[in-house]
Amino acid sequence: MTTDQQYIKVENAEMVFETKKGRFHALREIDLSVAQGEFVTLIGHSGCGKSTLLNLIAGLLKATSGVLLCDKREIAAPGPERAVVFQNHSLLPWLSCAENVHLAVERVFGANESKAQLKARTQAALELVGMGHAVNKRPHEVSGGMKQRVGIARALAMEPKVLLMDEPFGALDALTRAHLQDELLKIVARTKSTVVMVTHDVDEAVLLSDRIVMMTNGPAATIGEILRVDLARPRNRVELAEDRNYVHCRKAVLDFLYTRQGHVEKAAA
Amino acid sequence: MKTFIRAVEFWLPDAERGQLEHGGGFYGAGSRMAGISREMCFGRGEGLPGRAWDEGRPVVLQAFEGSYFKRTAAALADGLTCGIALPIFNGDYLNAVVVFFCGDDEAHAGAIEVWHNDPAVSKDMTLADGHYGRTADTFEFISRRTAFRSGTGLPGLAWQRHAPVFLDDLGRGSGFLRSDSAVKVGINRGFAMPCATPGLDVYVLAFLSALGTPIARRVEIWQPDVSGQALALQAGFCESAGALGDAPLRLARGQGTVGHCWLTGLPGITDNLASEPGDVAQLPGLGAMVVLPVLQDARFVAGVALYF
Repeated sequence: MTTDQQYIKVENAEMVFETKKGRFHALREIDLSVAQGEFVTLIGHSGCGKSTLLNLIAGLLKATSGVLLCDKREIAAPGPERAVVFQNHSLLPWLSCAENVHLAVERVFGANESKAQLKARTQAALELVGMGHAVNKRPHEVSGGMKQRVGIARALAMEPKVLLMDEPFGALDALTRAHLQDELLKIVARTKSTVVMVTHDVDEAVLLSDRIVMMTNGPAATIGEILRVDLARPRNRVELAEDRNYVHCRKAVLDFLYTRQGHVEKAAA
Repeated sequence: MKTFIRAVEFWLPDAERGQLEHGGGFYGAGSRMAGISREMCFGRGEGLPGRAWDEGRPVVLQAFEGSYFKRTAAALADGLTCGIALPIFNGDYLNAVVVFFCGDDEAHAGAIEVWHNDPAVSKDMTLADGHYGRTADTFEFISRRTAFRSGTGLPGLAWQRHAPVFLDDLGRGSGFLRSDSAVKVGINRGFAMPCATPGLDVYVLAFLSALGTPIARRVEIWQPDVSGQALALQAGFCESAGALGDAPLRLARGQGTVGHCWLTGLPGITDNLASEPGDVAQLPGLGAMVVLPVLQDARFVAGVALYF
């Protein structure tokens, strides 16, 4: 079976927001193809439009101009084939972990599957992220990392073709973040999901990605450079720390962010 | 001081446009290449110049031994191990092929890279091939995995501007996206020029200079001034005089080797710097000058002068 090299295709996309202060040109000339099963991260300084680009792929925003396709179909609205995980877990606090996941499962599969099948899907998704023990707990009864795992389980339970993640680990402490990154690597290896992820974290980008898309500073941000990370999988963060090629890739991204595109940080300092 | 480029030559189509004849060369004193090259000619597809003509794009030949290169023994005797052939097309028709030669000794630091974009396939400009000095493996690793967009990085800037771009002090990274790797291997200056090739594919040749073995002893980029009637020095660097640019000197069409390049659209080589306009002959260490035309849609965009 051949892999679709243009599973997600963004062609000459532009995004302009109408604000009270006038037009804000967020993105220009965005061209990007993501292959089926590929893990792509979007990285850049704050305000570079990486979340906007993710939201365009999610169908949460409509591009001012340009074409966005997923599996050769135009992206015109959100759809279950493209699940989104946000930085804050966005779980419903009055529902248990299982009920939160079940809600999404029912929406996608409810019309065609029995209650038992839906329950099995819910349980399997929670077990996939190591949360099988906490099905009956409410979000406030589990840690931040666990909440985020439930959020990922909810996304994966829909069996999406594409997993879209907007800084999913951004609000977590370093240890929990590292643990979830490792979990995500295992999950994606199992599910063969196509992933587009927004991150600020250079190490996270190199550890997880097949390609890192580096965006120029906004306004009117665009893709500046793309780095191919062809490190062997499965990846082990401890071993990679001393891997020359990992260090090269890490430096290349840091170089882009803090040498070429560093003026945002300097201006803010 | 040795330069990264050790020798340069150019080849011109004959009157029938059936083969390439030797147009000129700088090979250094006592060169065997100089002796045999003047008598040679290449058909389309033949040898390194003929290959660049036939393929219509820059060609990097990493090693001469066992290859289609026709002057291997002479090149190796001169310490030349690698060649980069740059065809200069005027639309569909070849004006010239310039060949740069590099060595392979321990002190050989720097890089010549060929970047390519196929607009039918992608918006990315990726490395087609490159020659890297002995110390540039870190740099090469990143270059081979990096894709630039138009307007970003040294190749991307040359692509966007359709003109040569010179970046001084790459360590400060003003537009050069691989500066950390570059500094680590001693690469401190770079320039890139779009190649005049047939078809819609875009090629950019990037030259990355190291302190110990600069690409050339002096690099000048000349472009038509606002009047369009003269060439002005836009940018450059001299290993003895430092950064160049904003010089009052203007060159008329046909004046000096650079002006002659503008007049004819052909490369030029001279070792008589005393007859050149300006005061380059007074500068220490300069013995010869090579001028390359940069053409875009059959128009002269710039002349790049390399001094050795």
